Amino acid sequence: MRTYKVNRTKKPKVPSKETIEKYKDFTSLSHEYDKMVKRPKVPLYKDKKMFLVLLLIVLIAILLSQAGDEKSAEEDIESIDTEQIVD
Amino acid sequence: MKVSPEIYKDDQKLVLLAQKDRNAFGLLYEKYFERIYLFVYKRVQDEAKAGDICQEAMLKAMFNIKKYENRGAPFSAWLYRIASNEVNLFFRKSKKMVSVEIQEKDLKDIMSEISLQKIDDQDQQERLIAALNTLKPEHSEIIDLRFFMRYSFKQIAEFYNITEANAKMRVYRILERLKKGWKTK
Repeated sequence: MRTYKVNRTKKPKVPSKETIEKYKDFTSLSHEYDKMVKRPKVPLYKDKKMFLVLLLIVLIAILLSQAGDEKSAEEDIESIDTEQIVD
Repeated sequence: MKVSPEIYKDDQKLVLLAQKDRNAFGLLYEKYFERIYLFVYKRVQDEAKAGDICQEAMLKAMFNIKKYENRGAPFSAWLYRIASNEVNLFFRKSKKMVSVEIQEKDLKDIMSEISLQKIDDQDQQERLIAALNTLKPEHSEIIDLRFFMRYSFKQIAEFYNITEANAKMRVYRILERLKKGWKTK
C-alpha cells in the first residue's frame, strides 16, 4: 500500500550516477537467470519425496485400472446371464 | 559482448541478438538500466528498493525477451511496462504503508487541470492528496506518469500500447472522477 504526501520545502532528490552504478550488476542478473532456467540437478525419481509421490500415483493408476476391469467383467457376466434368461 | 555503435542504437537489432544469445541481453541492460532505475526510483523514492525492483524487472525482461514482439511501440515502452508492474507488485506486497512525496507544483498542476480554485490553499491541497490516495492503483499509475513524471500523452500511449487519443481520454476520465468526488464532498 502507498500514500501520497506533499513536499513543500525540499527539492526532489535524484540519485547520482555512482549510486545507480552501485546497483547495476549484469553478472548477478545472469546468475539469477541461470538459477531460474536450469533444470534441477537431482532427477525427479532420485528425490525421495518425489519418488514416493510418483509411486503413489502409479499405484493409484493400477488400482483404478483393475477396478475398471473388474467392473466391466461383472457387466459382461450380467449381460450373458440376462441373455440366457431371455432365451 | 561488443557491437558496432549503429547496432547499439537500434533496439530491434539488439532485441534480435538477445533473443538468440542470452549474453546479448547485457547490451540492453547496459543501455536501459539507468533509465529504468530512475523511473522506478521516482515511484518508490528509495534507492535500495529501486535497485532491487529494477533488477527484478530486468530479470523478467531477460526471461521473456523471446516472447517480445515489435508492435510499433518502442522497445523501451515494453521495459517500462515490466518495471511498472514490478513497482505495483511492490506496493501491493508491502505490509507497511509506503509514502511517496509529490511536489507542490505538480499538485497545483492537477488542481488547475480540474479547474479548482485556490490552488495555493494548503487545506485544498491536502484534500486533493486525500482524494488521490483513494484512487485505484491502475488509475494512480496514469496520474503518476502524467503529472509526477511529466510524461507526454504520446509517451503514455506508447507505455500502454494504446492510441494517443485513448491515453488522453484515460487521463481526463480519472481527473473527471477526482473532480466529481471533490464536488460531492
